[in-house]
Amino acid sequence: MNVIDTKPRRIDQAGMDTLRDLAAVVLDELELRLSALHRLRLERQLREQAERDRTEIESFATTLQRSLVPPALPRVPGLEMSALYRTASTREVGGDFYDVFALPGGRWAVSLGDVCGKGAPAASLTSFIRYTLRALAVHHDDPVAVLAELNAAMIAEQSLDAMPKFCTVLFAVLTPLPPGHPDAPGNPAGDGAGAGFEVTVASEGHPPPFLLPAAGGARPFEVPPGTLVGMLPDAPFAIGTQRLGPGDALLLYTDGLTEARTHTGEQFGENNLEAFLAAQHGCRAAKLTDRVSALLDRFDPDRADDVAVLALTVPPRPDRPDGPPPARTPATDAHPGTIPDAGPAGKEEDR
Amino acid sequence: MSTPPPVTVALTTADRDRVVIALGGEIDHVTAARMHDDVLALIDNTGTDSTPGVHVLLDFSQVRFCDSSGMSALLGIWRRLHTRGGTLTVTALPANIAKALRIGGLDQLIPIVAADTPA
Repeated sequence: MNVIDTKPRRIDQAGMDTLRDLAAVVLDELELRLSALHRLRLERQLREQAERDRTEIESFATTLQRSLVPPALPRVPGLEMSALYRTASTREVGGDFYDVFALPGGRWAVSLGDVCGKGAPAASLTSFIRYTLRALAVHHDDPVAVLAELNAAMIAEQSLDAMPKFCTVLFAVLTPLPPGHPDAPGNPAGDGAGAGFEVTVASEGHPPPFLLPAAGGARPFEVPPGTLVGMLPDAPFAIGTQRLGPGDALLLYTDGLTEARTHTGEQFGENNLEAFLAAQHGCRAAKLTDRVSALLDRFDPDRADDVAVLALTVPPRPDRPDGPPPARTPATDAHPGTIPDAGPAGKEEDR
Repeated sequence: MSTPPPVTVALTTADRDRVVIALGGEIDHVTAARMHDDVLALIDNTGTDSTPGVHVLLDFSQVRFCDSSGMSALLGIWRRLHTRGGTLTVTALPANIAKALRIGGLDQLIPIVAADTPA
């Protein structure tokens, strides 16, 4: 279309129609771009809002989560400790907890457990349990009395709930063995090398912890079966006692570890865990939780549950010039990257 | 976002003070509350709830999974029935679920009976 010319001219009807059409096209195009711009802005606002909401929810979850475990493990003379805590989701708080705290008379209390359910209601009850245990443990020397009181407190707390929650608990009291004990090493005053501990465990509805003796192997720390805490008003609670000597390890865990699914959909299970732990012979606390963490990385993340693991080790006796060095396993120390795990869990490594 | 695993609750028989309900699917923290509510609603609908001492049998033969939230739901159902003089019994439990109930001592409140035992 001729827009500029040297001589003046009048626009005819056809030219006017063409101009009108062109203007309409331009208007359409402008509207289209404007609406796209609006949509883009709206989408960006929604995205930003969603991001803010997500951050806020995660911040709530993190704050709640922080009340379920101690900020750091205390330093216990003659004992090495390491903890592993994983949640299945950053947005949903779980009900796993653990705690380590001092008791009168140089003793130490260790608790680890799992409250049924998820989300804020489970987390607030978990927090209640953790602090109730702390308060009770100071007043009762007997772990059975501690759990009986916790049981009563939980039932009272939830007397009006339609679906009362309960929990599984491992509650252990560690009493240091005197330096004069036959198991005491040559230099009892040496830091980090003690005679070990007498460990009394009350396990209520919780899978028994695993004992990894200095001599090798792994076996469950058998405690008479108890009852879930918070269910029966007159629940019977029982305890078991073992000695944790130099070179021995004790692993407490929640069932998120044994109920973890391998990529073939099978549960990892207690038998596989026992075989896995037996292969970690000689590992100190921090290394044990590292190995368990690497193991968890190999499971199906979509079906993962919360996991809490607490490893306790008594440092092995220092090498004596006249004796053989403490038992170690060259196989596990030489290849820190390899994790010999038994059973179906190892099969889907080559994915 | 995955869809929650379905849980099914179906009335099998209701006869005066005896109610048999078949459960199915996966009972976990997502579905446990629904299972709890559905079971109690079914008991209400049979009209037996007003009868003191209703005996409810839950058939677990089609249940693939039941975690601690499921047990919490069972405990809630038991508590509701118990306050009215009723009982709760479970049957046809897969071995792992039966084991979990026994480890926790829940079977002391909610007896586990063999599948062929008449309700």
